[in-house]
Amino acid sequence: MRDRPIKLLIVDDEKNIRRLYEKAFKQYGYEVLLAENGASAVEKVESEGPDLVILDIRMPGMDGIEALGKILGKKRDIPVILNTAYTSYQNNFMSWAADAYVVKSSDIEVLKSKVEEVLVKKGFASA
Amino acid sequence: MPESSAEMRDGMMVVNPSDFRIISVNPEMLQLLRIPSDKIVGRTWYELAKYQLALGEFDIFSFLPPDRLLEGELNISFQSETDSDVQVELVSYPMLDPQQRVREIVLLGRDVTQKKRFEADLSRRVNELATLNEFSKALQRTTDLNEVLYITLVGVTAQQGLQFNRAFLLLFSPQTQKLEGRAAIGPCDSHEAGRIWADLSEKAWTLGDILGAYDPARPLVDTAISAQIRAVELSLQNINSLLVRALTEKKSFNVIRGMAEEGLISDPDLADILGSDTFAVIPLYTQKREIGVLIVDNLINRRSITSTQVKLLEIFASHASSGIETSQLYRDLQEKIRALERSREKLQENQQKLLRAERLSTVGKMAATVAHEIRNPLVAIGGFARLLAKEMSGSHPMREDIEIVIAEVMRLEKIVENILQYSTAQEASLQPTDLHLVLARTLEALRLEIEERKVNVVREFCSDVPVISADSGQLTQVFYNLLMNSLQAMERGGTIDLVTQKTGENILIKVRDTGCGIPVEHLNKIFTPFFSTKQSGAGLGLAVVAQIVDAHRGSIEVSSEEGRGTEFSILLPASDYGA
Repeated sequence: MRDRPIKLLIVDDEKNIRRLYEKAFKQYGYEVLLAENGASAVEKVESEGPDLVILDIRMPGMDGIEALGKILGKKRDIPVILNTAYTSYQNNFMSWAADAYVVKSSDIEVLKSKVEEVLVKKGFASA
Repeated sequence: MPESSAEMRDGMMVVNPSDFRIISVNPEMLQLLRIPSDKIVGRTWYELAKYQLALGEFDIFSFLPPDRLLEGELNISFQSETDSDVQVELVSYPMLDPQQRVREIVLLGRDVTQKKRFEADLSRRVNELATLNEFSKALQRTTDLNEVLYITLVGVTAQQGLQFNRAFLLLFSPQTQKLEGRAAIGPCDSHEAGRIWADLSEKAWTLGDILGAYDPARPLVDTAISAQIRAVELSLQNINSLLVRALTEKKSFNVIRGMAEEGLISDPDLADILGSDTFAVIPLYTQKREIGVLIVDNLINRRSITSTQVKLLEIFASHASSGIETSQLYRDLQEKIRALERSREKLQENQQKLLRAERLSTVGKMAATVAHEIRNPLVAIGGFARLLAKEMSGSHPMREDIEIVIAEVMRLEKIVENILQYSTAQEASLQPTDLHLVLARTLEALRLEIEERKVNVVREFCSDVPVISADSGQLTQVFYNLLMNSLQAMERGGTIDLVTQKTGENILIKVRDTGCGIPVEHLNKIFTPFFSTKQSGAGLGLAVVAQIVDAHRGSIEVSSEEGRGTEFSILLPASDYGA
C-alpha cells in the first residue's frame, strides 16, 4: 500500500546502541532516523515526520518520559515504543501513553516484532 | 530434792565380804537408796533381798547381786516417785588386812542425777547443734525452693533430725496476701508411719544423707499429705487465725487439745485439716519479710511438745526462712534474667533483621545500578554479534565463535535480569489474585522445559479457588524459579508434585521434586543472595523467591534429602477478599 519505506526515529543517548539499531532496522527494510536526546527527538518528530518513534528513557537532559509527553503533544497519533534497560518505568503512568514497552535486549528480534505489532495495530501495512 | 542432795555428805555402808552382812550404814546412804529404816544393819544382803525387809521404793538388795560389790565403781539408776529419774553412783572400796585379804567392803554412794542430767543435756545439745549444722549445710547447697521445702520438712521429721511425726509448711504469698499451704511430710496413719520408720531405720542413713536425697523429679508437693495442706488458703485479714497471728506477731504457739498456751483457741478447721488438735505453730520470717509458718505434731506417738523443742524449732525455722527467702529471691532473679535474655534476644533478632534488610536493600540498589549500566553495553555487544552472524554463512570459520559471543551475552543478560528482579522484589503491589491461575500460567511458561526433561507434573490443588493478596507477576516469578530449580535438579526426568492446601488463615503451597536434593550443609544458605552451586546463574533465584514471599508476609521452608528430592513449602496469608 505504501510506496516509501516506513520511517523510524530511534532515540538513544548511547552512540553504539543507535548504530546497532540503525544497522539492524535498515537491514529489515526501514528508513532510520536517529536522535541522541529528548529535545532533538521532539524536534525531529516535527521536522522529519517519522512513522514510529523508538524512545529510550534514561537520557541526559530531557528524558524519554518527558519527550514522550512533548511528542504526543505535537502528534497525538504517532506510535511510540519505549525501549529501555529499566523495567521500573513500566509502572509509571506516563509510560502507559506509549504503545509498547520493551526491555532492551541484545536479541533485536524482540524490538523488531514489537515494532511490527504496533504498526499493524496503528493501521500500517504489515511489514 | 536433787538440788539439796548435791550438797549432801556422801552415803556410806560397810559390808562384810564373807557373808555380805551389813556392818553399818549412815543416814545419807539410807536416803540415797530410798531405804526407809536402818534395821538392815546386822542382816546379810541375801536375807534383805529375800525377805524384802527394806521395803523402799527401790530395792537395791534384790537389784544388785552382792558379789558385784567387789567390782569397784558401780552406776545404778532408778525411778523414784518423788524424783522422776534418780541416778546414784556407788563406789566400793575393798579394805584389805595385812594378809592382803578383804576385811570389809566400804560402799560410798553419791547422787549423780544432776551430773548425768547435765551430761545428757550436753549430748542432746551437741546432737541438736550437729542436726542444725547438717540442716544449714544442706540449705546452703541449694537454691531450689522445692528442695528447701524438702530439707526443712525432712529435717523436722527425720529420726536423725528433730523427730517430729509430721510437719506442714505454709508460705505467705505477697501477691495474694494469703498464707498458702505448700508441702507436708509425714504418715497419714500409724500403719504407714510404722512402715516408713522401719524403712528408714533399715538404711543406716545420716541426716546429711537424707537431706541430700532430694529428687527433683519427685518433689514433696506431690504427696497426699501435701495435697491436704495445699487446700489451705488463709487471708492475712483473718486476724483471729492462730496461723496468721503466728506470722504477723512472729510468735510460736504450742497448741494442746485446741488451746494455745495463753488460753487462745486455735482455728477449728485447722484441726480438721491436720486431723489433730495438738501441734506447734512456728513462724517463718526473715528480717525483711514474712515467709510463712511451720506446723509440727506428733500425731502417731502422741509425745508432747516441750518448750525446749519449740525453741529449737524456732532456730530451725530461722534457717529454713532464710533458705526459702534465698530460693525465692533466686527464682525471682532467674525470672528477671530470663526476661532480660528474652528481650535481648528479641532485640538482637530485630537488629539482625534490620541489618539484613538494610544490607539487602543496599546490595539491591547497587546491583540494580550496575545491572542497568551493564545492560546497554550488552545490547550493543550481543546485537552487533547477531548482525555479524547474520552476514556470515553457516560454514564461515568464525560463525561458531560469534555464536558463542551471542550465547554468553544472553547468559549475562539473564543474570542482569535476575539481579533486577531481586532488587525490585521488595516492592510488591498486592492485588486479590487467583493462586491456581498463577500456577497454571507458570506451568504453561515452562511447558517446553518440562517436556524436554520428561518431567511429570502432578497437580494436587485444593477444591476451592484460593484467592490471595499478591503481586501476580512476582508470584509467577516465585513459582517459575522454584519449578526451574526442580527441573534443573532432574536431569533424567522425574516427578514434580504441585500441592495447594487451605490451612486456616493461610494457603500452603508445596513444590516437591524427585531430583538430586540439596546437601545439608547448603540448606541454610540457599536463600542467601549470590549463593549458587550451579555453573551458570547469579545465585539469586531462591533469594528472589524468599524476598518475594517475605514481601507477601508469607514464609518459606525447605526440606531435602540428597538423592531423593527437595520440597519447598510456602505459606501465604489468604486474602480478605477470599472466595
